Amino acid sequence: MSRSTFRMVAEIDAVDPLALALKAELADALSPDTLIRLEIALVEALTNIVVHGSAGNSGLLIDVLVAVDAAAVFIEIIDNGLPAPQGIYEQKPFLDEIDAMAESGRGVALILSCADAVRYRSDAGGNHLELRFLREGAP
Amino acid sequence: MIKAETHRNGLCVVSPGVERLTAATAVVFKEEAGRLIDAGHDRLIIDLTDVSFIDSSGIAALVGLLKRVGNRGEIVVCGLASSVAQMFRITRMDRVFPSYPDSAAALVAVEAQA
Repeated sequence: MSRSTFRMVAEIDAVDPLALALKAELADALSPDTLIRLEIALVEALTNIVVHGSAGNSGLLIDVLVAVDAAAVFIEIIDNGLPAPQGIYEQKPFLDEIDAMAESGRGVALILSCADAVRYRSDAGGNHLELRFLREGAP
Repeated sequence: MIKAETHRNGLCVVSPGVERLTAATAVVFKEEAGRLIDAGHDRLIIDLTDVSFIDSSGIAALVGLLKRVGNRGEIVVCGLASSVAQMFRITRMDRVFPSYPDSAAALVAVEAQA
């Protein structure tokens, strides 16, 4: 299994550079469609932390751990900001239930729709959002 | 930021002027495009040819512009890259915004509806 770590300050301008760097690293590990889903989920997750989790703490750091094995790509996003609302990542994706003319509220649903598996926990060690993306041909 | 090419009858082709329409860029895009609407350009073609990625903030900006136009006009998109098209499908924006391969095709279609 290969592993790498990315780190960003919780600022909105830092999201895209990290996403692009991570996407470049995983270009050969995932199919183009899966890479798009990963990028969507990652950008939504990072943006949520910056916008909702940093609570104005300009020094908040976000770590993104990446692990790749034969079956999947694993992304773990770790921060020490405000935790996500309880249970928000345990609901079924409800993109179809969001008003098409809504101007907010799609972020978590997009993460749940785009990742093949999502797990979230918040404890003394911080907030951990784990995403999994299956590789082509994986069972 | 945005590039706007005005045509007759309130029609305007707008390019966001950024490669990524995300939380970092969507607010400014919406503000600048909104000023076009306020100036009377209520039929917009949003040319996304140079946009390689859009997130929910970018989608929200487009929806906000559509609501600002309301019943008096329309907004269509063109030049969707595969990643942008996928996002439109996932969020059902492909049912909200008519889409065309490029601005030339969009202009023909929108002008025909005038």
